[in-house]
Order: sequence, then structure tokens, then C-alpha cells
Amino acid sequence: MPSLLGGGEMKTELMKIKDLKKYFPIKTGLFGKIVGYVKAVDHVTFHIGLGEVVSLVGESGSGKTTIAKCLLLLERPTYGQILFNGYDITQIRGKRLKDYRRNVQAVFQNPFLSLDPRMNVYDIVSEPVQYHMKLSKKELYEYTSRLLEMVGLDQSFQAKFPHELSGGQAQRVAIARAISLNPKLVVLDEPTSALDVSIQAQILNLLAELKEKMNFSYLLITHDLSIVRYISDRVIVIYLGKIMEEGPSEYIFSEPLHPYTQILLSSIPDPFTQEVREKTILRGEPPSPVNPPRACRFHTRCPYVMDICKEEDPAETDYRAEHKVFCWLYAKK
Amino acid sequence: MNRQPLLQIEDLSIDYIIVGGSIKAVRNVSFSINEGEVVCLVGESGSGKSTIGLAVAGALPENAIIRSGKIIFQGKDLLYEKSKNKKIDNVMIVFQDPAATLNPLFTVGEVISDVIRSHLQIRDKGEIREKALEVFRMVELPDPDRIFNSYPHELSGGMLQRVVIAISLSTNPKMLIADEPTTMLDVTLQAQILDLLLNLKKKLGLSMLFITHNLGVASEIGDRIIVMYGGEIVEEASSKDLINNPLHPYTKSLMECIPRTHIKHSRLKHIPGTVPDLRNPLKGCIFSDRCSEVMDICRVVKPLLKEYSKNHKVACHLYSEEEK
Repeated sequence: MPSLLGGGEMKTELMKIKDLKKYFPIKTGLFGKIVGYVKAVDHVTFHIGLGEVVSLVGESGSGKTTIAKCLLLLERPTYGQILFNGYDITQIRGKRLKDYRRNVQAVFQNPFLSLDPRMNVYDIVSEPVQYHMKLSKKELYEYTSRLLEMVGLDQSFQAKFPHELSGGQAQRVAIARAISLNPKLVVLDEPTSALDVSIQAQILNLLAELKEKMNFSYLLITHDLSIVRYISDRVIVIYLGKIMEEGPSEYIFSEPLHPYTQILLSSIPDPFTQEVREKTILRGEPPSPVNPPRACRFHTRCPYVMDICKEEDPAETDYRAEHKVFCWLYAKK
Repeated sequence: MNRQPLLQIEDLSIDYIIVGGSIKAVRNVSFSINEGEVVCLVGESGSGKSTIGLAVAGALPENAIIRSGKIIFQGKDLLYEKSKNKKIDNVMIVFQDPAATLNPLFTVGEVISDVIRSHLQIRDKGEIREKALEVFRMVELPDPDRIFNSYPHELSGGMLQRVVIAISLSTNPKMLIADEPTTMLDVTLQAQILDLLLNLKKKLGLSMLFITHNLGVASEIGDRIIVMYGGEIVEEASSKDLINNPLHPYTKSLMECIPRTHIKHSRLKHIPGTVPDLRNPLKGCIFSDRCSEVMDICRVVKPLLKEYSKNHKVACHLYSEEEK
């Protein structure tokens, strides 16, 4: 990966997630007695570099959206630290919190649920600008028009309401609002899952273009590995709240290490590799995160399961620089 | 020419009546499905693929009007039969969201018993239960006894979709219409369900009309793929032919839109513009306003679906001129 800083040097870290845990209590009865916990995220550690695109990939129930919610402070982590520019965001208040909110924005899956149906496009996009920057009316208008232009929407859209937009156009509005304050990090939670393929390609191109221009970091959360390859620098694969594998996206796709990553990749229906692809079909359903399997979480469905997998949690193995896997198959003994 | 196809759709046109006009959702569509064949209808939202599925299943919403055409199943015109209020046992439909298909107030067992009782005229409770457990086993559901007594909310998405498939199989249908049955599921579960459907096709000789927006899924399960755009068929070919040698500009650009996992893209191709307004469909070729190879004739004359090579049909002026 060619870096502006020159060879070998570490990229500046924007965000560091340390040992993040989020347990949701399960309550029963009249008095809300806690009978157990849904272990949605369990000891997750990773970082996001400045200007880097990191993808969190996993199936439903893997905890990927919970991690995003913790980053956006929509959920309070049960344990762990989220460091942004060196300070722990779970502890901050006041001006620093406001500053953090301005620097971290999000685009969600369904634009029609995330846009207020009673506000027109201009109001939706200019609202955060108005709140965070003190601009005159004319400046605000110019700023907002420029934002809409950047996402490919012309003047005629300003007075429209969300219900008058197509899915792709509405997602463009959501993106315009997310980038309106020139944030450092944009969290993309399944940004194209609700769109048709031809529109999906438009939105992905737009996101890539904006990133080049403005140098954001993206945290892309998705279950669709095919869009991950296109846009991301680094991929993190999670299963039942734990990281299975983490590495540069070229290696994850050309040389997946963890059996779960391999199976995920082989499950993508790709019309171009229909004949050559080896298909492994995963049997059964993912176990419940209330009572996740002991030791390696994947051992109940893993085709290469060994005795040790059922007894001890696999430690982190550095396979190559920046490519980590949590699997006994690769552990150095 | 071999035997008559199982399902034959001829010149089907369907409108939806809305306030201030009508949406011409499907226009002059003809195709057929042979016994034991899986045909995929592929298209984006608004292409009319689901409308065709609903029409075959006889489940169109009330504001839909069939303007013209015939749906002939095993030699009988379904539209005529339906108007006579005859039950159609041989075609079953599976929808995208299994949780929305099943009534949350009834156990899965109650729902399937109801279907078996009314369609197969079985009265004996034990016999009904036997039949239900049999189809549950057929769709590889673990622990069929427990599932028979479960409510929909107690089952996961993948299991629910299996239950819905089991319910549709319980009447021993000849044909299954599957409307995006894997879209709501994760990739690993999607692979499971596709595998199951392929097995059922082999074991029971089931024909399928499989509706999807995902060309990857279509190429995995379909013997033949029909590509639809704006309510019309633009191309029809065997799965292999279509993927390796797409003819219509729409099919080509649709394939270029798909992000591929084994290649690093610098930029994805996309189709400029948006899907056509079907209140007033374009006069000429329906794709002409987004087509990169558009010619003058495309905007005036509608291209017909013509055979280009054996079993490969395309509706595009680019190819009709070559013949001349």
C-alpha cells in the first residue's frame, strides 16, 4: 500500500477500539430480573487509520452493527475503550463530545427511514451545517448547494421531499448530510443493501470519489463481501461477536486463512466464476449469542475442527504483516 | 419439437390502476417453462418480474388488470380457470420475507395442516401430521416434531424460509414460483437454500420460476435466464450462454455493475439514469434513454424478441440489422 508518508511508516491512527464488549441483558418477569446476557460484541480490538477504509464483515447476529452503534455513541459499551484522537469517547462530555459528533458521521441502510419525511432535501442537508457552523443565510445556501452538487444532485432537488426521491437519490441525500461537516470518519452501515445493482454501482463510485477528494476514513459494515473488495483497504471478519480474521483486502480475497472467511467467500454467487469455484456449504445455523460455543466460537460449524478448538480460545496469530487470524490451524506451537 | 411445455405465457400484459392513470407493469411478455426446468426472471425493481410471478400464482393485487394474454399451465388457461373459481393446486409460491408470509398467531403446524387439509382433502389428524413431518424432512429441517409445534418467532430466518418451502411442497405441486426467496438471508444461508432448491428439483422433478435481481444467484440455480427491463423481456438464453455471451446492452451493463471478488476494480461501471416511468413507457426501445449504443431507430421502433442463435433470444436493433 503506497503511503504518502513513504515506505514502511505507520499510517496515523484515527481511532482505536480496545477490548470492546457489549452485553445486552435479558430480563424476565415483573421485576426485570436479569437471567442472562446477549454477548453481541466480545473483546474486539482494532483500529482505523486516517484516510483508511476498513470493512467489518459478518452475518446477521455477528455484532457488526453493534460495534458501529458503540462508535456512534448510540450504545454505551459494557467494557472497553474507544479512543479518538487520543481521548476515550465513552467518557467525554460537552464541547469535546460535540466535536466528536461532528467528526464522526453515519450513512444507514434505508435512506427512507433515516431521512425525516417532513423535511425537504435542502433542510435535511443544511440542518447539521446550521447547527455546527455559524453561516449567514446566503453562505448556507451556497454551501448546501455545493454539497448536493458533490453527490450528483442538481438545484431541482432542493425543494423535494424524501418520498419524491428514488432509493439511489435518497441515499445520495443521506451521504450529502453525512459529509456536510467534513467529518474524519464516516460509518457506512450496509449503504447499498437496499439498492439495485446498477444503483449500487453508482453509490459505490460516489463514495470512492468523495473519499479521494476529501480524504475521509470509512468504516464499512456489510454482509456483502463483493462490495468490500471494491472499496476497502483492510477487512475484518467477525463471527458471533469475535474477530476471526483481519488483514489487507488483497490477502483476504486472494488467500483467506480462517475457514469461516473461506466459506463466506465461496458462498457468494458470482456469475463469472460459476464453473471454477469450489463451493463449501455451511451446515446449520449460527449458534445463539446468548450461549455462544466455548473456546473458538466457530468450532461447532468448522469443517477442520480439532480437539483443541473446543477447549481453548485461539490466540492471535500474525500470519504476515497486518494479517492476523484467530485460528488453531495457524497457531505456532 | 418435444412435448408441450408445462407453463406457457403468451403475450401477457398487466396494468396497475393508480390514482390518475395506470402503470403498464408488464407488456407483451411471452415465455415458457418445460417440465423439470428452472427458469430465472432477472431484473431490477420495477421490471415487472414479481408481477408475472403473482399472475401465474393467481395472486395479483386488486388494482391489477390483465390487459391481454394467456397463462397456460398443463394445457389449461389459468386465467379462465381462476374466473371459474377453481383451485390451482399445482402452482405454489414462495415469497421473499418468510416472517411476513406466516401468521404469527398460529404455530407452523397449524398453518401447514390447514393447507394440507384444504388442498389434499385429508381429514385424519394423524395423517395430516405425518404428511407435514414428511415435507419438513424433505426440506432438511432438523427436529421436525419441535418445529411442528413452534410459532414463527421461535424460528430463525433460514428455518422459516425452509418452513415456507415445505408448506408449498405439501400440496405436491408441479411448479414452484420463488420470488426472491434468498434476498433476506445471509450469504451462507442463501447458499444452503439454493442447494436445497436444486436438490428438490432433482429429486421431485420440480419446475421453478425463480425471480431474483441477482445474476449470480440466477446463474447458480437457473437452466435458463430471462432478463427483464421496464416490463419487457430484453434477452432470454441458457444460463451459460447469457453469462458468457450477453447480447443486449442492458444485460451487458448489468453484468459490468456487479462487483467481482477476484478482481480489484479501479471503478465500477454503472448505468446512467434511472428506471423508466411506466405510466408512459417509451415509444421505441424501452432501454433507449439509458443505452450507450443507442441508434436513431431505437427511439422510434420497438425491437422484437428474436432468435439470435439457438436458444438465445434478444430484443435489440443492434442484432436485427446483422441479419439483414
